[in-house]
Parts: sequence; C-alpha cells; structure tokens
Amino acid sequence: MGLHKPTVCIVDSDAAIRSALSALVSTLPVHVLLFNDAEAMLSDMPGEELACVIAEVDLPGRSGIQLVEDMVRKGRKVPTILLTSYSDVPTAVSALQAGAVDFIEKPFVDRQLLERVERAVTYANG
Amino acid sequence: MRPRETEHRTTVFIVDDDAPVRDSLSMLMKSVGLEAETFASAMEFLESYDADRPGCLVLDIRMPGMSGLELQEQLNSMHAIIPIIFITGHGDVPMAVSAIQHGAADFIQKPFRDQDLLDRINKALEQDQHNRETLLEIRGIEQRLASLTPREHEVMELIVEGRPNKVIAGDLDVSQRTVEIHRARVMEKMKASSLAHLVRMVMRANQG
Repeated sequence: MGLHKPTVCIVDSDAAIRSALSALVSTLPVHVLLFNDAEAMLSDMPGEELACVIAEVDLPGRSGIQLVEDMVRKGRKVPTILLTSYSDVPTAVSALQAGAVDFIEKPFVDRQLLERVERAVTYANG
Repeated sequence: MRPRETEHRTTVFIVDDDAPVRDSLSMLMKSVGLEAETFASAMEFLESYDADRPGCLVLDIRMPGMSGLELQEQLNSMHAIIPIIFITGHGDVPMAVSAIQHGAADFIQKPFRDQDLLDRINKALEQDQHNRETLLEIRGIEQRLASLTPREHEVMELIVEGRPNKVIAGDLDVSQRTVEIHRARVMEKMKASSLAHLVRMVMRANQG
C-alpha cells in the first residue's frame, strides 16, 4: 500500500451545498470525494486513506445517522461530522451515540467546520 | 462478578435543585426497585462522591451555583467513570452535543416519559458495570506487572515483541538458560496461560 493523501468524503443531496463544502474543505491538503447519498458512498468507500466524512443528516434513502451506524458495523471508525438544517436535541443525541464525532447545525461557520475536519485528518494521520 | 458484602449497591444519584423533581424521580427509581439518592446541588453531590460506588448520575443542567455541566467537568478532571444522564428543560443542540462529546452517556429533554428515562438509566447502569469490570481487570494486570523485577520486565517486553529466547539472550548478554528462567517467572507472575494471553494483557494495560 502506498501513501495516499488523506481523503474527505462529502455526502449531501444538495449540489450547491456539495460544491460549497468541497471548496471549503479543499483549502486543506486533502483529497475530496463527493457523493449524492449514503448508498453511493458506502458502495464506493475509499480505504485506509479515508480520514473524515461530512454528511447531511436528512439524506434521501439512508440517513446520515444510518450511514454512521453502517460504517461502525463495517468496522470503519472514520470520524464523521453530521450537518443538519432541522436539528433537535433527540436527533443530536442519537447522532453522537451512533458514533458521529460532531453534529453541526446549518448554516455552519466555515472556520468551525474546517477545524473539525482538520482535527479528524490529523487524528487519522497520527 | 459476585457482589461481596463490602461492595456497594448500584445507586441512581439524582442531582436537581427542584425538590418536587427530586422526589418524583426518586420515587420512580424505587418503583422499579432501583436504589436512589438525591442531592439538592452539585456541591452536595461532590462532597459525598465516592468513586467506588457503582451507579449512574441523573443530573439537571441548570442549577444555581455549580451547573450540571460544571459538575461534569469536575468529575472528568477527577477521572470519574460514573455515566451521566443530563436532564434539561431547554432544547439546546450545541449544549447536548458538547455534553456528549465530553463523555455524557445521555441527554434527555423535559417533559419525558418515565419509561424513556428508565430505559436510558438501565443502559447507563450496564455501561457503568462494564466500565468497572474493565477497570478492575486493568488494575489486576497492573498489579501483576508491578510485581515483576526490572529484569523480568525487560525480558517480558522482549517476549511480547515476539523475540525468541536465543535472541533475547543475545540482546541482554545473558545465557539462554537465564532467559528461560526469567520467562517462566514472568508467565507465572502474570498468570499468563500462553504468549498470546500475555500480549493481550500487556495491550490491555497500555490501553488503560
């Protein structure tokens, strides 16, 4: 296995948000992959180089929380940040209990999100 | 683990500044056969806190004086392992996220159904028992590790790295027979049934 650039997966059904997130995360020394939904990401999941996942909670099909659960079941403990526009306490609690490292309400603050991703990437490299 | 007489009973510790809330929570616990103790403030809980007592903490977020989140911080700095279930009257997502990121077992909003709280308490109690068993196991291994002489410790580290006796003898500049004796002592003191068992124990102790 060669050395790969750490990869960040962005999963959101909204194309505008995908590209905004992509532009933001691309300011870090990472490789960015974009997915429409959880199923697409799961069937095309990168290997060891996957450092962080940013996913919307309310995805069509499997939700962001289910995506976290699926990854945990596959033994892939990838730091996952969930984003949501309609948040409430029970959803936030289930997201973190499922294994998400963070749960951020939209509109998110760029710097806050970047810090979280950076931390996840550093953690994956260390 | 069989509970011995000296061991404490599992208790649900309830911290809330509102007396009627304390009483009704305490009655709810007792109605399902759970031991409960109530405290009117975070300070009062801290003063009688005993890390050896198993259970979980049902903690109000908003209290005069030390808040529930501040109590969590205090307990974290003491390396307390007691699971915390926060109760709040206000739906504040960032607060819930931060509480769980800092180790809270759960975070529940008022009003809640009794059964919902009881389910979460049972989960927290299971978690506490599991954590305590793990801690006990790690402490046992640490005690055995501490009983090794410096030389035995050195030999053990080389064994765990998977080096054969002959190589260890070369590394330490002693006879192979001496290494064999040390090795036997290490396995005996560590109560290790095999090399794999020894490796697992050392890894376990390093995790803790």
